[in-house]
Amino acid sequence: MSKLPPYALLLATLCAVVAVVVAQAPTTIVACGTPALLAVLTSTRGRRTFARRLIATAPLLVVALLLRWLEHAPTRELLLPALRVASAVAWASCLSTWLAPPALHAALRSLGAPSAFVELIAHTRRFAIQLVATASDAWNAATLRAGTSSARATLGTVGQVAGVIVVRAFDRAECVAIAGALRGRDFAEETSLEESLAAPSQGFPR
Amino acid sequence: MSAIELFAPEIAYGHGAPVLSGVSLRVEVGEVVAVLGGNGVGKTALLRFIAGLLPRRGGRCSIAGVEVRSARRAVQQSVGLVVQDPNDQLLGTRVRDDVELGPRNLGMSKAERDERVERALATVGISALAEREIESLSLGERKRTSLAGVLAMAPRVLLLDEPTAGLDPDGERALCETLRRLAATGITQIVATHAIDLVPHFATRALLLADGGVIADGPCREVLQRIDLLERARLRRPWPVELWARALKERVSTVTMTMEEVLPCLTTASS
Repeated sequence: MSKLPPYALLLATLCAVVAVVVAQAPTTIVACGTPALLAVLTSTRGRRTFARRLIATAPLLVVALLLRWLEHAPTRELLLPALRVASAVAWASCLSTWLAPPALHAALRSLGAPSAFVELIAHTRRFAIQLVATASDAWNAATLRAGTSSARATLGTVGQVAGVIVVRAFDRAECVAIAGALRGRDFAEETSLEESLAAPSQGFPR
Repeated sequence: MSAIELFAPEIAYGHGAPVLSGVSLRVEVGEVVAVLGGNGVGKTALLRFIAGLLPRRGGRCSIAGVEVRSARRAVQQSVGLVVQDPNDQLLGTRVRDDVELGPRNLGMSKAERDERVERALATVGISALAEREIESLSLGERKRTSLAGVLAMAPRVLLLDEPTAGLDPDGERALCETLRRLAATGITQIVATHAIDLVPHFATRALLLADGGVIADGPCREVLQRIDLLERARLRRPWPVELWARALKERVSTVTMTMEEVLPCLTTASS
């Protein structure tokens, strides 16, 4: 797979994910997901990535299953969302095993994705990493304050850690906005760099 | 019995490469150890390892003779950890709520909780902030609140990660004073820091980390004058030690560690 150009790997993954989402038969979804699953399970890194992402999507699966259960849907219908999520996660894990973030961004650019979109993807990843670190730190701190000593305490800790994550997410978003503004983001939106440089200096650093 | 006995062939985050190797440490009850080293050298990893937050790769870490392999066991052995960024540690909406969190999780009665909270707030000098919203606190106040939250758990071993980072001089002084008072009550402390000038004010022993391991372990007075080791750890000597080494060494035999030790020597030297 590593011999294929990054954009081909990205395109193949996107096609596979779309197929997984639109397929209606469980066998088709399994058929679409199996190659990715096999590929991802062959390496230790792939297995870890897949496991981590599967755990991250667990709440999604629970909600999907709950909704189906409340609607008294047949078991077969409960299976479909679970298979779709697992297959899509397998493909996403494959992609991040094959391509490092810079290669993925390059692949997106070579497929004609707007640079703003690529930047959004890069920042989203960075944001997610920071939030995971925050969640981990907050959870550890709560654990060391007996936050998992009982079921009731654990439930409370889950809520508190979720609160911390939300608050920190807003904090960081605000910091990023301020940092962007102070580094000329708003200025760049109003006028291009060439125009700015061509204009008589009004304190703009050249 | 030692407060902490640790032998770790490897300390690593998750399944990654080891951050530290071959760490061996024995800390006595009431001892205050400063863990020193540049950024990314493994100070935080060492604290987390002691708190049972990192996976064990052989070796052992025992607190008061009981092996600690998980954070739950660390809680049972009264280990407290104050993380570097208080925003990651403060889980309540008001100061009192946050400090009360640990005692409540331990299932204490209201009276016991109140007593613990009042004592912890008084120890760090923030009793007046008890009803304040967390969001309205300054960084220094947040740091104190996070320390109070851990103290409310009545720890026997206190691990502090960069407790002085971001504090103003007044905050630094107050923190050093608090750490000294806690040591006097018999609480063992391990303080990760690179605030080298402050170390002699609260620590009696220094552990120097560099190149993936411990390169020096001994009394502050000995370790903090070893310029070769400090430079290897991307640090420098505290200014009173530097002053002694450059200007007073010929006339004063004992190394000076603090302003209080330097002043009489300067007076003697000038006369």
